[in-house]
Amino acid sequence: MSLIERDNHSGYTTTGHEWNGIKELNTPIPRIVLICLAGTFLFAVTYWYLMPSWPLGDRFYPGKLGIDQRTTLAEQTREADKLKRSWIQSVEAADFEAIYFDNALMAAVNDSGARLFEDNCSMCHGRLGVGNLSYPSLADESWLWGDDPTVIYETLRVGINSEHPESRNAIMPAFGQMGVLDAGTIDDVVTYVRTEARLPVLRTRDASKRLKAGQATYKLACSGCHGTDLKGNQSIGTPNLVDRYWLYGSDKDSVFESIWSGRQGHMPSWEARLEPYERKLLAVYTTTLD
Amino acid sequence: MIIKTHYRIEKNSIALVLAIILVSGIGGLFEIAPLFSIDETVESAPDMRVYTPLELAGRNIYMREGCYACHSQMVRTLKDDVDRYGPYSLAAESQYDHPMLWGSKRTGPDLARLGEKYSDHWHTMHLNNPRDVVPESIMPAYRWLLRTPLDTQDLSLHLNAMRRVGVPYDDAMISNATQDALAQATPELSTSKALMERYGEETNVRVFDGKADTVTEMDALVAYLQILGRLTALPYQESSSTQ
Amino acid sequence: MLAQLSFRERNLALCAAGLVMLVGLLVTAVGWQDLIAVHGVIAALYTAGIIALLLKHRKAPAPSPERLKEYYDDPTKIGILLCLVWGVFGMAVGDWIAWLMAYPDATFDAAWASFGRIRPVHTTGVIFGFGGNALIATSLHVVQRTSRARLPDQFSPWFVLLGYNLFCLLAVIGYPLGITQSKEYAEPEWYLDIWLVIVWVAYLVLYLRTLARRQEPHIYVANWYYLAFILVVAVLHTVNNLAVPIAVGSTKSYSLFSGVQDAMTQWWYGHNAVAFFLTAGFLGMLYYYLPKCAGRPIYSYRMSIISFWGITFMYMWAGSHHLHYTALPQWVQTLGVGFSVMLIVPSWGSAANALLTLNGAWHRVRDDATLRFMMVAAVFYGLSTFEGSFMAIRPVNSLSHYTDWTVGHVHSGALGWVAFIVFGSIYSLVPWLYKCKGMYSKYLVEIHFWLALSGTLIYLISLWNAGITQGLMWRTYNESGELTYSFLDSMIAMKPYYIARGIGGFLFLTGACLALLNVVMTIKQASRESSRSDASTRAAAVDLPVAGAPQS
Ligand code: HEC
Ligand code: HEC
Ligand code: HEC
Ligand code: HEM
Ligand code: HEM
Ligand SMILES: [Ca+2]
Ligand SMILES: [Ca+2]
Ligand SMILES: [Cu+2]
Repeated sequence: MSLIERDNHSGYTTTGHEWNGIKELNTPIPRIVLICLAGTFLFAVTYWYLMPSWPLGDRFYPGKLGIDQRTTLAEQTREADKLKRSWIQSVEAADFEAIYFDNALMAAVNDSGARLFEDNCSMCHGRLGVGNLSYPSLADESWLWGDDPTVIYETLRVGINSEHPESRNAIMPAFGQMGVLDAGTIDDVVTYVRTEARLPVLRTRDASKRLKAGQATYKLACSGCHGTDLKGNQSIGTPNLVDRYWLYGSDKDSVFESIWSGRQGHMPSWEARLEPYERKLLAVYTTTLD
Repeated sequence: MIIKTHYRIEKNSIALVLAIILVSGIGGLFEIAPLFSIDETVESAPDMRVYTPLELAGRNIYMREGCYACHSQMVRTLKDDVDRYGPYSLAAESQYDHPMLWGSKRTGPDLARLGEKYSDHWHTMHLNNPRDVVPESIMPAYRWLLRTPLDTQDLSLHLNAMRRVGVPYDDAMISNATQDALAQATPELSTSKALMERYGEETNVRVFDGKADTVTEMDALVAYLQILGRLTALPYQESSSTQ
Repeated sequence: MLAQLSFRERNLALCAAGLVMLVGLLVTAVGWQDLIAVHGVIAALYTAGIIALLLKHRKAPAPSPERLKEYYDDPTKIGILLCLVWGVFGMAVGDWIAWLMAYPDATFDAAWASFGRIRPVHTTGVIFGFGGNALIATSLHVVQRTSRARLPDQFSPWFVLLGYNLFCLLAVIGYPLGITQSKEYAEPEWYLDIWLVIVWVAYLVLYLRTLARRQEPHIYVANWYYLAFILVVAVLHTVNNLAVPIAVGSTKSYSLFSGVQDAMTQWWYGHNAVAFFLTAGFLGMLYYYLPKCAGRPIYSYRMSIISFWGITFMYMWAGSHHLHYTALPQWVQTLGVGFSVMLIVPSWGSAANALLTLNGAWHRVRDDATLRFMMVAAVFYGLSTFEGSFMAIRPVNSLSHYTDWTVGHVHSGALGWVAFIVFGSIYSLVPWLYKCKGMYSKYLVEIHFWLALSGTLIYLISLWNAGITQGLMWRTYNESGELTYSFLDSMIAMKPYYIARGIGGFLFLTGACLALLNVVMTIKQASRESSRSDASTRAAAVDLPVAGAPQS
């Protein structure tokens, strides 16, 4: 069984062992393997010498270079900030008017602003800014708080109905749920509002009576916020009810629901998450969407 | 010489077993054991709070649904990671995570700094069907979360097991776990105050899923998502101090 | 088949199955309000099936002592079939989730079918179901041949094989129901983990007992690898799964470690599941079937030694490369880099040893698809380990981590290496086991080879592209020093690659189905032939153990 043979093909001898017909050659380890082993070992040892590596009980060897991933990152951030600083300052210093007329800054708005918008805002307002049910379109001409970039900049800082202490607040009361108006009355107001908005409403026999009742209720309960002309009030963020744009849907049931259960859209505050210059880029970017 | 020694080992199966165990055992000993003995490993974060029972239930749903297969919860010390997601993650942040959910794939974005980035309403809509709010999304729809009432019965057992693996839940937290879970998603309950006393004033007490009358799995999951990255302020201080 | 068991063994099997059934029923009773009851019922049904079979054959005549003069291959035969069935299942699920990433609504709106729940069905199905059964089946075959000894008894191999498959079955049924520990590749909950420990200890004991009976003074290299696989997996599995259940009748547990310590333990496990489950065991396979098939001696015994001990030692340090730049202290990452880079040498040592063994047999590689499967496996083993060592370098990893590049790397190993070596080994093993001249259809083997190769290449090329694109998009800055692409941009860019991957996966899956078909047809044909003539006894004469008959 233990017979050392010479393999004709390779010229090497076998080890003399055999397992069910399998034999092994006793070929020496090729030099290249040893060289690679030594090479990779050298690499590893050097690397360990330079960087934090071996554990020593309750501490670890910090490495000859004395750097680690956190200090490296801080260093890179400092470097990048240095390069960016003048640019950031020019964004921060420029007032909005100036930005619109500065081609270089507008290029940054379209480039960096778009990226910021997609990573932070597009989830709610859509990649093109066209919004979604209960998330306003930023690409149309209808605005809750106005299309002035200064206003938008402030909205981004504090948010709307957000956790921020200075948040803008815009709450549509739940007239039905809180028992202020009953369902019939709300039905009438819905008819009135939708008529004024030139939406098709069902013509019933008592239509004019109900329209009147609706109008009366509107004057009493709603006009304070949405205005007697139903055009909303941008200083308190109430929507225009007679334009083509509806945040929560224009069908009868949706409007009813808006009045019965109230609405309170939540726009997060970005003060803690985005730098002032980033919010500024975004404010401008938002106004350029269409 | 070496070959001779090896001949001896490979002739004796027990010697081979012992040699394998010895040779393979060293790596783990050197790399894992010191993580318990080196103090610096986990930063001290005095303001670190534990998960409320509702958040813990949400975390278990996150695990059950396999969200970790697509989402990491680990912002690396890389400039682009930090620029996109926020301050890099610290060891202290996951010290109560049994197990950790750092993840290994980003089919979707990192979630380590997600808390309070979006509204509860958005999360509810998004989880219910991501394509309702993000038309391009390839994330699965989780419609059953909103339909399924949360099982809160055995939450005390959960907290108790967590305590046994080292999370500082006290007796009151454990015995009131079920009640606290319900209270967190039902602000009008009188027990909400007791919940805040136990877990801190910062605790989010809200109707997370928009349905005030039932506490659903959606409530729990959204409650969990909203505190990601917000259990301690340390990472935010740390990054400003090194910059 | 059961007739080979002695009366004592039949009773022992009945007791074991009965015990497991009892535990299953007990679990069902204690945890009837919990999902654990589902597992209890399935375990009970599974063992009830086994008990029914046993009872049917209980009165079969006592086995002839003659059988002890032959190798005991019945568990291997069943193991191969299980392996292929798991393979087809696991790859089908893999292809399904691949398509889900392009068409996310292909889930019937069912909770159980959502991506996150069925992804572990895929990984467990292919790694543990397909890979594990292949390892158990071949290891039992190889250890007998290379020891020239029959397995020491007829009960424990069945306990190992069927117990192991019970574990896989329960795990895979559990994930869609939401039972998971969420630890990658260790998802089964605490009670299944305990069950696997029991099965695994039985496996180790069986292996060592067979080795102890060997008629060769030296233990062959293949057995070193199989042994390392069994031993190290036992240790890894036990440590990584330490957990405290919330109650005895509940599926849910909380892992003992948290945060960094848990992360390091998890990837010490995860990386070495790769090393010892997906590598060491399969190297054992390679070391037997490749030289056997090529009819050539192993190129270098000395290189085997270096490779084996290098792999066993260095892999265990490399797990931290899964955690680069994370909150894991950097010193651990540095150690991981060093060992991952050194690891390339023993890894390529094994790959080269395999390929050089083919010197003098290349004409066979050209003509025989079976041997070609093994050759390609060795090549992909070399490629994926090179890629792995490369990705373990921190700056490279900063690009590849979290992207589809990692998934590409995984499948370069999983498809190119693991699956290819399994198919090659099965195609050579099945004709030996059933004592026939060759597979039912050589032609199908050839088609399978090209399907598998093209599927693998499409999969890999699309995901390398995907991963590198993703990684670059995430880190591209514009002239203002701001990030250029949003996350959504990168996600949208992935779509064509995901579709290509789905197509590649489909080709690979088709090949696996052909393999199953071919093996089943071979078995059918062999049983027809052996009933006609008694050629089998003649063929068998060359494949007999020399070990003295074991006590029955
Ligand atoms: C969680 C969802 C969400 C995210 C994310 C979000 N918003 Fe909003 N945003 C809203 C909602 C809801 C409103 C409307 C609030 C209301 O109904 O009163 C709103 C309102 C606004 C308004 C006021 C619109 C008007 O008509 O006056 C602007 C401007 C705006 N968002 C810009 C942004 C920008 C820029 C970002 C990203 C930095 C952003 N939003 C991110 C939900 C979101
Ligand atoms: C306290 C101020 C206030 C009062 C009073 C008020 N609203 Fe509003 N209403 C709002 C605000 C603010 C919103 C926007 C809520 C949001 O954006 O989330 C709104 C939204 C709406 C909407 C949804 C618009 C859309 O685009 O979908 C309708 C319809 C509406 N109000 C009708 C009424 C009617 C009818 C009344 C009286 C019965 C009324 N509101 C009284 C503040 C008020
Ligand atoms: C198939 C992979 C996949 C799975 C599984 C998955 N997601 Fe996502 N997720 C994505 C993708 C892709 C996005 C980006 C597109 C979008 O916003 O929908 C995303 C986005 C998100 C976001 C928005 C993050 C941000 O900062 O914009 C949240 C929150 C989220 N997912 C939570 C979850 C939760 C919770 C689960 C489990 C219940 C889950 N995801 C499961 C792929 C997935
Ligand atoms: C038909 C062939 C296959 C297809 C289409 C396929 C597809 C997939 C997909 C889509 C994923 C998920 C990736 C992600 O989350 O982004 C995956 C993961 C995985 N697959 Fe496969 N797979 C196949 C075969 C295999 C085989 C044969 C094995 C192992 C032997 C395997 C092992 C794995 C592993 C380990 C992962 C997890 C990867 C990670 O976590 O990074 N796959 N596969
Ligand atoms: C020298 C050998 C190898 C080294 C150094 C190595 C290294 C690596 C690295 C660096 C990663 C990426 C980790 C990350 O960024 O998340 C990885 C992932 C992976 N590798 Fe390898 N690899 C090797 C061989 C193999 C082989 C042969 C396979 C066989 C199947 C394999 C399977 C995997 C799997 C499954 C993962 C994914 C883990 C996960 O994230 O779920 N590797 N490997
Ligand atoms: Ca992974
Ligand atoms: Ca487990
Ligand atoms: Cu690894």
